[in-house]
Amino acid sequence: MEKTEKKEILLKGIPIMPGICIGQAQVLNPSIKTPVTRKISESQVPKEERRFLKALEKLKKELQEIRGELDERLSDLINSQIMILEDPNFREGVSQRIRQRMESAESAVYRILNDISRELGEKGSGYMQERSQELLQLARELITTMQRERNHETTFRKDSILLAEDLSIQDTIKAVKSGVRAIALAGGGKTSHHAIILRNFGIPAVFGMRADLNEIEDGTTVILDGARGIVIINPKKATLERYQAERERYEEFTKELFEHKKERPITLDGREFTVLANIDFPEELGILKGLGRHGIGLFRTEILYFTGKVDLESQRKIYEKIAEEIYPCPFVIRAFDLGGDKVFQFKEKNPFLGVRGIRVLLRNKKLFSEQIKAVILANQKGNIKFMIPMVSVIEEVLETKELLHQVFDEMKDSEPGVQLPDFGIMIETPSSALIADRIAPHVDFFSIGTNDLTQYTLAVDRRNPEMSYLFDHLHPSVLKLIKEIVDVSHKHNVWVGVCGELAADPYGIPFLVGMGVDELSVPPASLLGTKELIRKISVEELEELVRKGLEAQTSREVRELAADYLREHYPEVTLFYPF
Amino acid sequence: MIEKKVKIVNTLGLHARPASLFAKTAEKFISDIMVEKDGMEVDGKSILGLMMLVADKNSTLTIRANGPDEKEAVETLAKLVEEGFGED
Repeated sequence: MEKTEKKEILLKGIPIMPGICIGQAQVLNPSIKTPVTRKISESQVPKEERRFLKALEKLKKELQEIRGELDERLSDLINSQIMILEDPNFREGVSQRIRQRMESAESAVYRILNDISRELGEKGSGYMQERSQELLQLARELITTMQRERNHETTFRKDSILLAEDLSIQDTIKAVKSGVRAIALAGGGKTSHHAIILRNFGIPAVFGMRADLNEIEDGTTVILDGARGIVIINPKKATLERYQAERERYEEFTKELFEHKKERPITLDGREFTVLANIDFPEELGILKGLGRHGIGLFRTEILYFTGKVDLESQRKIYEKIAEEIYPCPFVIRAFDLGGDKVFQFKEKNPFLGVRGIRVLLRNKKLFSEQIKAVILANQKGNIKFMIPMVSVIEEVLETKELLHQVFDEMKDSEPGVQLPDFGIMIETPSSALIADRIAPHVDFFSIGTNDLTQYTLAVDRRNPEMSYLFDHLHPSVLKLIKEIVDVSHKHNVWVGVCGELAADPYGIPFLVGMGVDELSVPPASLLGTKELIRKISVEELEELVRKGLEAQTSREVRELAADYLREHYPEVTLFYPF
Repeated sequence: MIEKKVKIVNTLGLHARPASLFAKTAEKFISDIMVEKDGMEVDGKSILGLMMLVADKNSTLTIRANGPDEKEAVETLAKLVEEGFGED
């Protein structure tokens, strides 16, 4: 029988990292989001029971680990979650359902906790009803832990294009290290943590892809166009040829960037800008070295927290090694930015408006002081700068500064040669942007975090794929706040950088350069492109562009202004980075 | 076997925190401990069981213990409930 050619399917998502990849698909197990009852066969019973018990122990351990760092009220909540996990009735109940009803571990966990939760919800008072949600939350945590374990067992195939519903941060890193060439996810938002990681490693990616993964066969040919946010399954011959040609042109474009890697980022009218790199892992230093000599404008230290390297000595070693390797370039360390989406702590209704960033640190002074101490100790050569995330009121700045000086005073006699690092803050809330003039006298530098600043200004959850049409860091409101911060910085002689995604957006760079920011800090994969773009534009011309941008009605209008300018000065970039 | 009836007095009732406190205290005794409310009886050493009772403020619990330290167990647990689990 003649084999019929499979149908070409075009899937659309959010562009995360440009690049064109053609390869074989690796389709990851679709996960269970709302656990429908899944039946298993008798032979699977022991395995399901083991999966359940393993996940239970793992989650228990995770909960016990974070308990120590919480205040009393929260650790109470964690305590009762741990007790539920330890409750023999719970274990026995789940095991029984697996054995007698032949349900998967996920289904059994969900059914049992859901039944109790419903009981509380129906019969209990208002307070009990609220608490009933916590049981469901615990069920979800357990299910996620089980599925994470299952994904951990998957090996990622080298050179494949990975298609998955969602990935944990750990699996994203594992996939990258296994040599996966491109990644397409059904979940994920434009500035989620995975997106940041993939950009850092330069892995072409598309998120928010609308697709039913069950219908895509493992091993089929796939094209991923990261710049346009397109994934094509079973491409026709003509499509394939078109993309092969496109890929060649793209490779030529990037080759040129590499040829210019030693050239300094000086505009046509002679103004030099500082371009630094954002990194998450010490391992990324290797990537940086291949790109020429660069400082680090943002080292996100959360990875140290998640991998348990929070003791003084581990932190000091890592900071000192990086500081030495990039000396004399600056090394900006950001204090642990925990909370929000970045740590499983306790359940807040609105974690992005809850205990995160500096708010977490000032409640956990021990953790915070250790980090400060490690930073000071590592600052042997004086090129380290230290900044705090998520400032919303000036008290947070003053309290941190006092702590910084206090820790330093306690150390300076016993540790000769230590130097106080420059102290700065991230500006990523509208409130800190609007009182930047009052904060400026107390700091050495500002670093504008445009992802959160956009999220908080537009009131749009940056992880929510449904909202990505509203999330644009080039909205005139965000531009206005940035202009305000830059003007204040100039007036007070405070160094000002931008470390959010906007700094690497070809349509954003002209505005930042036109406003006269001192520094742009971008993912390693965008370093060369950003510097090349700066060499093609001129500050004087851009001042006019900034004025128009500030008066624009919509994000689209702002983007079009930049696009018009770039088409004239650097047409290639508009070709490979469409908007 | 010894039993005692007690009334829940804390405003929020037998929610997760008091239930875990109750179960933890109950675990310290060798005796079997059961708690009953409106005809439903659960294991007093199981936090989930206790939560299943949905015992709001003013509801009445019967605490039963059976074993070598039953007297002390019932007294200690009754006191915990009557003192509102240290809440309010």
